[in-house]
Amino acid sequence: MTHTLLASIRMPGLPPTDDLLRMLPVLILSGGFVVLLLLDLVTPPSARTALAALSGLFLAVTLGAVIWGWFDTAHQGLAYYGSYAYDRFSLFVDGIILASALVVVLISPGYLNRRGLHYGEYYALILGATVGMMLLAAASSLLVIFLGIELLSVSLYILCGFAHTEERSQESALKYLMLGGFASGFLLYGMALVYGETGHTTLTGIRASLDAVHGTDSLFLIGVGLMFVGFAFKVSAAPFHTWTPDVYQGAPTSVTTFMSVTTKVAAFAALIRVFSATFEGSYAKWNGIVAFVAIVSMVIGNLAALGQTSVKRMLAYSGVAQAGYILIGVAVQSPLGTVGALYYLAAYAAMNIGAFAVITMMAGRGEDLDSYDSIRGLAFRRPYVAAAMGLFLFSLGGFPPTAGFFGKFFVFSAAIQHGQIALALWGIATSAISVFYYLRIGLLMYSRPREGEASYEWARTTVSGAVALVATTAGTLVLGIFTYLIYSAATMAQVGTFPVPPNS
Amino acid sequence: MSHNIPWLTVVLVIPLGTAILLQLVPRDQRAAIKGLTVLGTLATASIVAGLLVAFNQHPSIPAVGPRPQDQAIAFQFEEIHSWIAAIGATYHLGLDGLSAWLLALDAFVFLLGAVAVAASTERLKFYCGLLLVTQAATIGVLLSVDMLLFYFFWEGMLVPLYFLLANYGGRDRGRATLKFIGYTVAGSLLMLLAIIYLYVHSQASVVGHPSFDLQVLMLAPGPAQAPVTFLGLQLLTPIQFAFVAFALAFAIKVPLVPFHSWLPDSYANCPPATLTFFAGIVSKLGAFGFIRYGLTLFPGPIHDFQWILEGLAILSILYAAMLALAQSDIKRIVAYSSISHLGFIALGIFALNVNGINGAIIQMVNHGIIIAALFLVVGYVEARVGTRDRREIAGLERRMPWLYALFLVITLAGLGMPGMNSFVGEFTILLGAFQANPLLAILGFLGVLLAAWYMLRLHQGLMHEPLSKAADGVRDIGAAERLVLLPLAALMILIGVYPKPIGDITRSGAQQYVTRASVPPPSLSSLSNP
Amino acid sequence: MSTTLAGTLAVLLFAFPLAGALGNALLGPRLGRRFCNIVGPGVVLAGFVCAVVALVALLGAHEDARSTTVTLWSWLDLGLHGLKVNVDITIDPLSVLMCLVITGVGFLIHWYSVGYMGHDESPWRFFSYMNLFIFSMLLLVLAADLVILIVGWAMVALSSYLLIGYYYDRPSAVQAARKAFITQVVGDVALYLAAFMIVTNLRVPSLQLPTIFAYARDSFPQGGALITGICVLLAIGAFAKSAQFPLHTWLPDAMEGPTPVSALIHAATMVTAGVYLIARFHTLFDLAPIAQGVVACVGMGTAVMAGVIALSQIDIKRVIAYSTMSQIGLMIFAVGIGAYSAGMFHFATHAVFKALLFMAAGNVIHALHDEQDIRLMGGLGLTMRATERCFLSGSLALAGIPIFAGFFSKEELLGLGWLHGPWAPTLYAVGVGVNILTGLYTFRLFFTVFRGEPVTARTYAAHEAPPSMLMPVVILAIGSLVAGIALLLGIPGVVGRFFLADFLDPVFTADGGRLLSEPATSTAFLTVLVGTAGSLIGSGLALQWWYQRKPDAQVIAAKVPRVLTQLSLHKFYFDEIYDALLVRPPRRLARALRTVVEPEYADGWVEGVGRAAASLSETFRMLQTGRLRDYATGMLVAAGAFVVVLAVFVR
Repeated sequence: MTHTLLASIRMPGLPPTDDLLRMLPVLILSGGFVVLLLLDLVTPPSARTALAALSGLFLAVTLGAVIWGWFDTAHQGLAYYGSYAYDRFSLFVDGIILASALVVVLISPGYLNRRGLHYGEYYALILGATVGMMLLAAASSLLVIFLGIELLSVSLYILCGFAHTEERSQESALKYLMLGGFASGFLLYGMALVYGETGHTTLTGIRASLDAVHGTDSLFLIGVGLMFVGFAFKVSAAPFHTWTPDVYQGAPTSVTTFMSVTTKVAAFAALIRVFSATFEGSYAKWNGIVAFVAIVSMVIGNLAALGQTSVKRMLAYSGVAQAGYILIGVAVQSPLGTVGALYYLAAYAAMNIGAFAVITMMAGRGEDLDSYDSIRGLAFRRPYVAAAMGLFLFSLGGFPPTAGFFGKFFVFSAAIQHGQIALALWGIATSAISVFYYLRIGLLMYSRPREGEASYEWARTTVSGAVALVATTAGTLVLGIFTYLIYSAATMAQVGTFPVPPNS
Repeated sequence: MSHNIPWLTVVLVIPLGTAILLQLVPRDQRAAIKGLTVLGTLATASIVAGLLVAFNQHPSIPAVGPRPQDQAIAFQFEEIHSWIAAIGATYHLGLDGLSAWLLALDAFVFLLGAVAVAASTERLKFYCGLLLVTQAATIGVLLSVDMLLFYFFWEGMLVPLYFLLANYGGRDRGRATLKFIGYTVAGSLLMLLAIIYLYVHSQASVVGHPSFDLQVLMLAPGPAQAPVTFLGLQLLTPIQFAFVAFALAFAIKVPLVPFHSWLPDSYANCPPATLTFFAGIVSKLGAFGFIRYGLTLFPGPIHDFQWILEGLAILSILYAAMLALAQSDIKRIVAYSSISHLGFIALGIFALNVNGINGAIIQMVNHGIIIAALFLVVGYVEARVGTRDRREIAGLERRMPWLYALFLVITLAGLGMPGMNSFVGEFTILLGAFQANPLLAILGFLGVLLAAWYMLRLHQGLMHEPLSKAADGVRDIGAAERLVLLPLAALMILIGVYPKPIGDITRSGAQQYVTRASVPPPSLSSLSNP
Repeated sequence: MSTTLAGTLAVLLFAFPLAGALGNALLGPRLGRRFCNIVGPGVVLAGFVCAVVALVALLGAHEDARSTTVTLWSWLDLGLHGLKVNVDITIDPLSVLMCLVITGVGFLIHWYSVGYMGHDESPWRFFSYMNLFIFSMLLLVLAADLVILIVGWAMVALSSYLLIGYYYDRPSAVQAARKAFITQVVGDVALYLAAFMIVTNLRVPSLQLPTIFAYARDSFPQGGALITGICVLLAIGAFAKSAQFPLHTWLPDAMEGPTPVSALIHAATMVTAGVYLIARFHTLFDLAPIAQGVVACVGMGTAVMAGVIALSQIDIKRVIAYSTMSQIGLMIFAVGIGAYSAGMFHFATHAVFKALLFMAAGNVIHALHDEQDIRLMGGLGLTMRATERCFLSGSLALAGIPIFAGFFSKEELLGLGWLHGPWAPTLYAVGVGVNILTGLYTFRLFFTVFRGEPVTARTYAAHEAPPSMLMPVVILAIGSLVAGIALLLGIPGVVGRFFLADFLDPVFTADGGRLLSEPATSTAFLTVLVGTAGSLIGSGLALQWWYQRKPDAQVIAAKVPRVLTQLSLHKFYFDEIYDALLVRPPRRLARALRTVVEPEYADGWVEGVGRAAASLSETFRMLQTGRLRDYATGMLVAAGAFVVVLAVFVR
């Protein structure tokens, strides 16, 4: 009813009202962004937790809108002249992003208070970045993609430098800013070339115009390559990962938690939409490079992680490796590949946020403690936290009955089904290596502090933090046992990778 | 027992349920924690006993094709529910002549472990929980018919094991644990690829869409037979590659020499209670896998590689026996003896005939009992004397008559003394090996000789000759320890005197797997007039 | 004989000693010495009664109906092409004769032990081992399925192991026990292989003895390679048990055990199991003449070798041990040439007088407080008259002096050796030589121990053994006087010449076996004459050298080529050779494996992979300089590479 009403009062020159409806989640969150910015001016420092609660509320509401949208198939489709895709693919990704953001907001107050960094704009910026990611997930036009990427990047640049008194934090922010800009340059240039070749900015248009001639033109291919570089940077795939360890380690841990997962998810969404769907026609041309990047990421990520002595850096490299595994799903041009990638993203969100959340709880007054020594003996003071951490590590290592196992399982299946056994072999070889550094952390947690070594004092786990841990743990297990739930969702999402059927 | 109750699921769930209940018990109620654990394992054991009684010894084999080997495996107490419907993975459990007695062994050794765990163990609750979860995982491995489910348990088993090994045991446990897990994972991941490969190529199977169900996969035509060529030179056929992947995973788990180096370290760093089930059942799962999957999915390749596998089995027997002879750490002696005995089991399997495989299954059960007992004894000795160095211990018989007598029985079982349980297995295995190739049996007998040598060396070394300084003033084992060892010793004799109940069940299993691998029956005149 | 009776008897025969073994082990420590002293011998006596009942029942039955096989329970059944084993037992003249000796002599020895072990700290252990041995031995002789026979076979070895190592804080005893056991395992393995070859090639795959014998002739061609192999393997098993060359070295060491043990296990019963085995498998051996030849030669060879060694030993028990080895050699020779009854006959008589000799020796040792060196004895006849008399009767029997037990049995088998077996007359001649040797070492022992001047003061302090140790000896002494005649002419009430032969022969004629042709009376008389002459000469020389001492033994020894004396003294260096060939090399190999192969290779390549990964990881960390421009350059290079690839190569 309301909806027909809106439709009736449509004004000329404005987009159709349905499009507003399709934008609803983004709109809610953008509203939240503004509200929080304003409220922050008037909130006393003591009441900043309220801001956290509010941001959480906005995220929850948005998530609700997303879920509602998932079932409201009637309105799913392209909005704003084909530049914004409101489909189950984007909604699936939105779901992951919002849930992750929610968990991050849960762990943030405790952490920030301990670090003495509790400022209101933090939450505003989180929401801002989230909006950008949602845009990126839903973007079906080169411009929106760029818009989204920049929006999320800008927010993250600030968040990385959030510990303004801390050199490492500043350095990380700067590095991220510079290299991010650098990467955006590649992306933009690539887009330009693609646009020049096809004359379209909307993905539908581009896809439609990729016939034998344009699809194989070298300028176009160069464009594709450069765009891929841009995305590879965002998903921190080797050899464009070099910023990752430094930035992850420098940034406040809660920020790292947030960006390590959500950025990757959003960027992968765009990558899949652009490559698997839009550039489908010229798959034969670009798959080599994607596969190469996937393998390099798996190898470098895992091997480099082996030698680390800081949990954050180790997780950074593991993130690189995970990006490699997910890329297998992209390098394999098949529905199963895409589904696998999506499933992996969901799994990655659950386990990685969980792992980082534990590190935020390790944070001490005024500093992040992430050295291997400081995690030693965790199990004896926080048995349940340690158990959860163990579970996340096993999940990252790809053991059943956890999410990570099925993530790997699906992408490997895709590779083998597609006859690209080499990819799968690289995958398992590197996973075998990964076991050693993941489980080494486990050993540390469960080994008593050495004689004479001052055993580290642990802060109390906050209620919200506990909730966050429970949530991520549950997620990791549910994805690992009741696989069909998310798997069926992912298949539905995959169908929507591209709203309009090919050649129309 | 009633067949409308999903008994197998019950068996699978009881340990998990107990583990969860355990969380409700306060940490300091040690007695209650241990009691509950024992109760849980006892419940499992009793249900398994019921299953054995209800087991149909002459199941009707479902034939699905013209050739004799075109037959599915006659699983009993089957349960099938959809799991990941989209990819055709099911929750499919079943019990057959192969897994029945292994399930019994599983229930038994975990019960034993629960009884044997010292109530003074620090973080007892955590330990008991892990023990129960491990049991669930191993049971899952034995019962699952769907291969994805099998892998799920097979790999998932490592999670509780990791915590068990990493938390409880000797100084060097950390390194040993990583070695064990890493080694095992390397093998299993290859197997995962092979599983996926078979799955992907099972389209053209009887059901039409790809499936993970063993019953379906073993009848699927499988991938193309053209050998893979790499850099111009012809390699194996895809199916052979797949078999190699499986074989590696299982060979590491058994372990067969030269994939064994994880075992001595991990065993040496394990407390006795853990070893009762770690050495008791986990190592058998590799051998189980060889029969359950090697013979059904790869009847061709297993014949192509038969002689290599047999060679590895012999190598394990002799090499490990030699090392057992050279050790001075009594725990490592037992560890290597275990490898040697598992070599016999492997030898029986790769004979690929009725006697060999029956013997292998029977011997798995026997070895489970024997090795658990041996490690317990070694543990008791270490706990009393305070060292594991054979050279510092002597003359315990004077101080510990009970341990002497029980250890004597266990030792005899360990060296394959006729009249004891292991004789049944070894005799049958070696007969099978002989029928496959007499030379194998003869080499195997060298292992029997060496076993007598190192087992006696161990027993006499600890028990006889004048009392050593370290051993002076030790106390004999108490009632609690006797309660653990007596039933074990009794079983060893009982099975030795009356092994028929085991044979009656294994026979149906072995018969099927052999037919499935379409091994020609051992010729009755393989030696006469060649 | 009805199967129920047979079954019952068998079960009782098993039950009594087994109950004794368990009872002594479990209740002994609580109920104490008296309990053990009653139960230990008691159960064996009960067994003897059962054996006698069986004998009576057999004699009552018709000659052709004297073999009964009963299935006690089904042991294993692996279905089609699978192993199938029942716990079967056979009661027939052969097994009953064995049972009679085992339980009869066995009882006397148990009785004797009551006294001998009177001061031992744990009689329950001793008697439970002893009873276990009796049980195992009965299982071995009654078994009618090869697998069950193997079980008995191995359990005999086990109880022997336990008893040899009875004094477990003596390192030498522990060593000896292990040596004996492992040698026995070699024999077991040979039996396993024989069993495999039989079950794999028999027309009707089975390990049940009656079935094997029934189908042997159709399954195995006469003298074929297969059957020869089987029989040689069986023979190897027998050699291990009966301490025949080349598996004989364990027996002398086995004397580490208490003397009653030597009497029971290493003289009367266990060591003769090999003879029983070959006799039992006569059907197969008849098919394999080559194997028979091997057996006969090995037997005779061992007889000579042991005789020579016995001449120079100075440990009273070892002398007797070697004489045992030598006598068993003769039995093996007998069954080797197919003279099964004769072999069993000698087994029976030997059991009597050899047990006697050991127990008498035991009295001496006991009196001299565990002194076993005969050079420190002498003149004991003064203080221990009864023992001396008994020992003398045993020696006479052993030396084969006419009308004493040994004479009949030995001469019978030698006589048959004149006609049958490989190189028939030659081996007979060697046999006569063995007679001479026997006479020599037997009386060397007797005279040096009981006659001549006492060497040490202890001799005067020595006192006669208590009745509990004397009675059994006396009984056996009488036995060794009459046993030969009794068994030869039949015990009162039973008519018939060669009673034992008539009793046993049906067993060996079954399944188409045939008896050896008896030599013509004249030849028989001649062979006996020659053989006896040999025995007498030997004994006579011994009398001269070691009693009258003119010329003294030393002088003679000096005349003999030194090589011979050395060989005899060092037991032909077998221990040294085996140690160098069979014990050291494996040890060395094992050590090499532990110190080199395991760490360097088996474990090494795993560690190697780890190291490689670590070093790679190190290089990647090097690349992570932390400098912005390096990162940017890296990205630029990679991107450039992509562009080139896409623009140039891909299309």
